Order: sequence, then structure tokens, then C-alpha cells
Amino acid sequence: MGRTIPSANQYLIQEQEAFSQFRRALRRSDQLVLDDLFTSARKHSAAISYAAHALPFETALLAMLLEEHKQVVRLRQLVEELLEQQSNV
Amino acid sequence: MSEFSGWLLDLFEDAHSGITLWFIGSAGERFRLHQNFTVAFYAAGSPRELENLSVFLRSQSAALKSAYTRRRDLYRRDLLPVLAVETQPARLGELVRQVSRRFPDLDLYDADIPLFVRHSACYGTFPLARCRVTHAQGALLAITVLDSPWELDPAPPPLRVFMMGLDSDPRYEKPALLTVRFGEEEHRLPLRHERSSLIRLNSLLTRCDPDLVLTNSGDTWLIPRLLEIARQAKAPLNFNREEGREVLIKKEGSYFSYGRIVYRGQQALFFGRCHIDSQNAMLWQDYELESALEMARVSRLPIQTAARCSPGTGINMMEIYTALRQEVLVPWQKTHGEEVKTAYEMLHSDQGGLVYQPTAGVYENVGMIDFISLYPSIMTHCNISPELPVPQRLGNSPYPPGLIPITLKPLLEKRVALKQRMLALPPDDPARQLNKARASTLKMLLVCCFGYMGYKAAKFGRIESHEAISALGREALLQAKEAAEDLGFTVLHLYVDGIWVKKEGCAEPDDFLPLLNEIVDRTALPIALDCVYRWVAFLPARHNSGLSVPNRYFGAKQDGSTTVRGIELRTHDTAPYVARMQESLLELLKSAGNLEELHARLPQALELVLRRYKRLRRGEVAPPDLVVHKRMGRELDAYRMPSPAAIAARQLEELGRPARLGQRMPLVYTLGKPGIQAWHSGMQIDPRSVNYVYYGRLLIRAASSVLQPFGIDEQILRDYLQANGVVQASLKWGESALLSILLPGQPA
Amino acid sequence: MNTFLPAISRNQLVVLALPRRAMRDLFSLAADTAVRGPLRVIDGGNLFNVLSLNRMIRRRTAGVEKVLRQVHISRAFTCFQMESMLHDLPAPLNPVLVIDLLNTFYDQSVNDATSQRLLAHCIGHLKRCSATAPVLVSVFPPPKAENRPFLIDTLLEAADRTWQWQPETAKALQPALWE
Repeated sequence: MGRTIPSANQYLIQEQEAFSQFRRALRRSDQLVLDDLFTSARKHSAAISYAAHALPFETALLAMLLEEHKQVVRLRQLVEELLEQQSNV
Repeated sequence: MSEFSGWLLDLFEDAHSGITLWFIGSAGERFRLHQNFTVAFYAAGSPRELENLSVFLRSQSAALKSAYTRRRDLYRRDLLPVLAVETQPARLGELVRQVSRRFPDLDLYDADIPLFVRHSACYGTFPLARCRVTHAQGALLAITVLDSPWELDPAPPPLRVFMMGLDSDPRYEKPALLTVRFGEEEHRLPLRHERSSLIRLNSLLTRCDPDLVLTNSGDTWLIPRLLEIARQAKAPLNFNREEGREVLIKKEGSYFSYGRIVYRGQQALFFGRCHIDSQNAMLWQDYELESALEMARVSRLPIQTAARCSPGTGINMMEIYTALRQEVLVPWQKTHGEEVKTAYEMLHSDQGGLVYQPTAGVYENVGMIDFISLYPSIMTHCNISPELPVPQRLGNSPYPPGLIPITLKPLLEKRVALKQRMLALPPDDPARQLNKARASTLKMLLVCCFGYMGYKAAKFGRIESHEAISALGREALLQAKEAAEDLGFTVLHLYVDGIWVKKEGCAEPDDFLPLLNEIVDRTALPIALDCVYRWVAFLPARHNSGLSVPNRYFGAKQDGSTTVRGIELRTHDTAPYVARMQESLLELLKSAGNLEELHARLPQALELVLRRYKRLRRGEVAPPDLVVHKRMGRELDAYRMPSPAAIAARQLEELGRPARLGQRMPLVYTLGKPGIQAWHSGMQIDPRSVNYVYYGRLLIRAASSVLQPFGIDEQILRDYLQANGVVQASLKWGESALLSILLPGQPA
Repeated sequence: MNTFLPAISRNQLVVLALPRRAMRDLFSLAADTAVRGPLRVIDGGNLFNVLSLNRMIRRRTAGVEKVLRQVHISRAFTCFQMESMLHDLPAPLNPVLVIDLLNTFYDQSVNDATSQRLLAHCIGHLKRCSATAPVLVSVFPPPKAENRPFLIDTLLEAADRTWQWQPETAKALQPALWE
């Protein structure tokens, strides 16, 4: 009913396809990492949609960075815990 | 002069003037009365064209009266000068056609409003309305309506129901037996003895004198067939109570509209009685007759029409009724177009509901909170209507209620009242079914009204209003999320009008009450705790386990029931045997109270899958249990590479049973080419030709849908099956991993 | 597509026939025009995907949002609405782009005579508009189920110029790896 603009999910899939040549020339192991990046963007498709940015790919990059940083924070905590355990031994 | 009280059953135009009404009297008699009733339509345009029209009408006997006046068009500020044309109901259609042909540049209003809706706007009548009627010599003198469509417990009319059933589906096999049931009686009429069965049928009809005739395939096969037999045998067949009228057969048609093929089946309609075909009835599947009657009441469409119409039509009729009551013109062909906006504005307004990707996994003690009828509530509470400025935020509106809120308010109120009442009824109370049937009709209408606002052919639609409702819906949902997070809850999932939340220490419904209150305070919209899940599993996407899918999940509620969404047993194209396997798995899991108990049931679950798999591979599952339904989306010759549905359709066509576009084709997967065998009841398939290996894969996939959240994916399942005696060659080649399922508490 | 709307002369009804896969080029054309000044778009085919337009605009300028505010769009979902929108266009000063003019005219809930009559009105409005501003009408190959060949015939007959879409032969230059 009157919807013309694709959903964020559809848009992200299109963007992913637009980078298919870039992906192809990467090493296989790097390709999988790239796929992971796009997957992390799609985890936030609701927020990307709501932001209604003129160039949603920029919001998607921010979403990828968000997921990356979550991992960094988690790993940092893990390292600190391990170091603490080590020092307690 | 006499008086009676009773229920209004049917109403239609008289061939000459006025209308005919049929009533069911409280004492059991049936009344047929005539009422003088005229209808009007309006024309707008240039003064010269209107004058030409006026001149033309003087020469038309159908036009009784015409006069200049001013009426309100919802989309304009000033009153519109129009020519009002009055005519007899029976002449309206033809007159409108003539006028629109001769004066194509004139805009016509009130030109296609069903008669019952018009009568309703004048007298407050509706199908099965309880009335007090004064009459003399067959003419209705006065009518007072004693109840309303919004009555929660209307006094039930003593409907006489006549059921005609066939012993097979005429689409696939010629029926041999017609079984008639009414009251306590049952009669069998063999169809090969055409004439004698017909005579018997007619005498049964006459004796029973039913108000409703219920059939299966009556529209498409039975009624036309019986009428044909009657014609050839020159024997009477009085489906109509109304004498001198033929049964109205509306032909079927497929037409191209708005980019799609729309198919409208044939209809067989009676006069003075109502024919409902369960094959053709929109709401039949769920709650049968009572749903259809409720649709008739609230839409004010005649029972026969209401039973066959879509909820969109129902909403349309309700809006038209409100317009008539308010003397607002009802547009005929023209609909209000989108207002000009910048592309920048469109970027922000063209959006849908918010839908999260839930984090896949299993969670305990999850509350599911949703807004009650979110979009209709917003339309009503925030006063969204085409003639009003679009609201920018949630909250009360400074304007008097618009056409749409006025229409929806009683619908919403009745639905909420029915829902609340059902919560109070004991589970085995017979009134439950009745309430449920009515509630389901109202729910369908409510679900549809938002979409209808944005529908290009809606008489009172407006895209800007539609977009505003969607925007406020997103706002409400976000405010609910913020309220949850402010109160220390984690939001696991968010979906258009509902959120799934969890908080340490919150396990009982009462624990969620502060959150509900907070949301109501912030949004001023009604919200409820749908349920608390003892545990719920959000499933990962099939092809990408890093992602989840918004509406694939299952869980066990505190009251012991389960909710299942998006997995195989919910989809139409799953074989019954596979669906049953999933159901059994869920049955096994649902009694688990928490994660630990869930994991404890996994070995049993695996054994179940193994048993079902082995039965399948041994060929012990009969073909009917393996039938899959695939939809055919295009015409047969439009396929370059035929899909399974297309292959099946072609096979059926060759058997002389043509398939219709949009129909779901039943088929079985077979060995060799083409790998598909179309199936119909009564057909024999050689079990040796069935592709049990493929079905085995489908079974494994369906099992992993349920077990994946617990760490058992397809590969592990295959390994397990292999380790338990399933022949290796039939599984996918791969590394055969030693089976090891990590369960909590067990060593790795 | 290396032309843009203002390059179209006045008092000419120009019809561009293109396949659906060439929609990108139409957005390219729209982007070229919008970057230079206001553009009025009437979309009859529900094809105006703003995000696709944005990609095209971005290749030409960084100020995408500013350009978007210069594009004025309305979507027509019935042939009545299309006729009404064209009727309501006052003598435009800015270029007008109509996307998929004929799409809504194939709808069979409107009869042949009405469809034809409304199209004739639309052509009249378009010619009137072309007196003051460049007007470009795009059409796509009709859907398979169509049985109204007179629609495309009427339009092409009324057109002063008809452009056939040509695929671009020169591809975008690949930047060299080494200088």
C-alpha cells in the first residue's frame, strides 16, 4: 500500500551485491570476514530503517562498527579477567 | 394494521419500486413486506454540464426528481454544489451507467452504495437486527430497531438452517450423493437419479422453509447443477422464498487489477433466503457461521454478501455508513491522490513498522507485551482521518473526532469487551465459541483498517494519514522500549506492536505490571501483557546462523500452552507427517519449565526423530501423509522453468482438472523425472515411486528447526542418525563426526 | 543517459521508451536535473525509490539532502489520480518527469473507454505544461496481461519526439593499480 522505498534489509542485500566484485578479489578467508561485517549490519536493520538516512550505507557502516566495538569490549573484559586470574594464582 | 417483533433477515430492491424485506417473527412466522424507499446519487462538475444533465434527466423515467443542492466532500473545505438525483433502487444501476457514459466529465457520488447500507443509514437497520414493525396489507408502515450491531449478546434469532453436503469434491471427482440435514433430520439423495432426487429436494426445502442454506461448493457446482437438472426435468426448485425471482448467478471472473491477477469466484444468491458456500466464505475456516453473521451485522451488508466479502470490503462499508450518517459524499471512481512532497520528506515518511532481529537463543521468563490493536487504537485515540491535519505526536487531538475514528471506535470497544469477557469465561463454557467467532471477525476488520487507509481504491483513504499512523506506531513502540529499559528490563525482541522483555526476578505476570503502567502513562495507548513464557527460543535464519529472523520462534507459556511461529508446521507447504513430527517434538519440550529441564529432554527428542525417520525410510508412511501444497503464482505458460506447483498444475490439467491461478497445488515428491506427482483425494500413488530420501531430508531439516536453539543442527542430527543404524549412503557425504552433544553438567 | 531535462526544448512532448532494467538511467537523468535545480516528478509505476536516486546524486555532489529537497514528488496509483495530478500542475516553471505514465491505465477495474478518455486528457495537460517547462514522459513495455494496445499507440502518436533507450557502451573507468 503505497510503499516505494525498499526495507532496510532489502537495501543492505543490494549494497552487499554492489560490493560483489570487491569481495571476489579477496582471499577466501577475508571473504568470510566481509560477510560477517554485512551480517552485523543487518542485525540493526530496524535502526537503519528508522534513521531514514539519505545514504543508508553510511548508517550501516556505523552499525558494523558498533558490533566490532561490542566484540572489543567483550574481549577486553575477558583479557582483564584472565590477567586477574593469573595474578591470583 | 398489525405489529410484530422479529429479526430482519434479508432486504433487496423490488423490481418496480421500493424494497422488499423479509423478517423472522419471534413467534416463528416469516414475514414479507414491501416498503417505499428511494435512493439518491449526486453529480458534481461545471455548471454547464450539470445543466445538461438536468435537461437529460427530465426525459428519463428512471429519474424521479433532481434538484441542486450543496453537500460535503470530505477532502474539501467548502460545500460542493451538486445535482441530487433521486430514483427507485431497481433503476439506480442503469441510470448511473447512462449518466456516466453521457457525461464522463462529471464526478458522481453515492453511486455504488449497497442498498442495505443505505437503509441502515436511514433507519438503523442491519442484518439480523431485532425490530418492531408496524404493517398493513403487506406494506411496512413503521420500523423501530431495538438493538445495535455493537450488542455483545444479541438475542439469537431462531434461524432455520438447511445443510447440503456432497460426498466428494466436484473439482476432482463427480459427486454421487447429496446429503441434506436440517433440524434432527438427515436425507440422502443419490445424484444419479436426477429427477426423483430433485423432487425430493424441493419438497424438503418447502417443508423446512429455511432461512439459511449452507453448502459446500454450492456457488461453483451444486446450485448451478441442480438448477440445470430442474430446467431439463421441468420440475420446480424453489431456492428463493421470493416468488417470481430467479436465483442470481454472478459469473466468475479473473481480471488484471493493480498489477495482479484477481480471481472472483462464481456466486449463487437467493432472494428471501441466504445461501452460504463454505468453500467460498472468507471466514469459514475458523469459526463458521457465526463469524459470517457478525460480519453482516457490523458491515450492514446482506448475509450472503457479507459471508463472501473480504475484510477490506467490510471496513469500506462501515466507513460509507458513517459518511451517509454525516451527509458526506461517497466518491464513486475517483480517489484522493498523494499530496506533493519533497523526496527528502518521502525518505522519512515511507517506512514500515519497526522489526528487530532478535538475538537467537533460548531465554527463560520472558514477558510478551503488546499494544492492543495498535494501529486502530492510534487512529481512534490520536484522531487520524483524511479530513484532519496529520498529528505529529501521540496524545489527544484538539479536533472533534473525524470520520475514521467515529467508524472504528465501536468496533474497537466491542472487540476489547469480547476479549475481556473471554478471559473471564471458564474454558469449557459454550459461550466461548460464540464470542471467539465474533471476536475473530472484528479482529480481521481491525487488522485491515490501517492498510485500507493507504489503499489506492479506498473511498476515504489518504496516504499521508496512513504514513502518520505508521510513524506514530514506531513512536509508541520506541517509547515502550525506553520505558522497559528505564525500568531495568532487557528488550529481547521488538516487532511492530509488541516487545519481549526480561528482567532478573520477574517471572509472574504481576511483576510486569509496573512496566505496563509506565507504558500506558507515556503513550496513552492501551497495552496488555500477552503472556509470560517459561522459555522461548528465537531461531536463527536458515541460511545464515549469524542472523535471526523476526518471526521464527516457539515457546512454552506459563499456562502450559505453546506458541509457534514461522517453522515448518505453520507453513502450508509442509507434509503432514513432517508437521506432526515437529508437533510431537514441541509436545515433548513444552512441559519443560526451564532451560535445564529442556536440555534433559533432548535425548528423548533425538530418539523421536530417529523413530520417525526410520519409519519414513522404511516406506511405512502412506502418500497422503506426504502431500505438500505449493502455490502457483503465475499462469502456466508464464513459467520458463516450471516450479513444482506448475508441474503439478500441468499434470492436473491433463487429467481434465484445470487449476486456477493462485491456487495451492497438492503434490508428492517422486523418484526420477519430473520428481513431482500432482495429487488429489482418491488417487492411488505407488509407494515405491515416492522419493523417501528427499522426504527424509525434509524431516531432518524440520527437526533441526526445533532443536537448533539447543545446539543440535542438521549436521549433528545426521551424525546421530548414522550412529544409530541409518544407512550412510542415504545421508549427505561429509565427515562423520563422533556424536557428542554438550549438555550442561556433562563433561565435554 | 547523458542528457538532462532542461536540455529538452519547450512545446514538445517527449516520450522515452525504456526497459525496466534501465530504471537506473532514469534516476541518473533525474539526478542530473535535480542537482541543477528543482524537478517535479509524477510517478505512475510506484518506482520512485529515493535511495536509488540518492546513490546517483552522491556521485555528483556531497550535499544529497539539499538536492532531495528540490525534488517534488507525488505518486499516482490510479489513472484518475494521474489525470488529476497532471490537471493540477499549474504552468510549471521547473522540469517535469513522469515515470511510467501508462501503468495505471491498464487496470481493468476501469473500462476501455474511460482509460482512453483519461489518457487523452493527460496528453492535453502534458502538452500544456510543455509550453513553459521541459516535460519528459517515460514508458515501459506493457505488462503481459495487457489488452489495451491503443494506450501506447495513442501516446506515441501524440508525442513530438520519441526516444529509444540506448545502453551505455562506455563503462566506468577502472582506476589504474600503478601509475
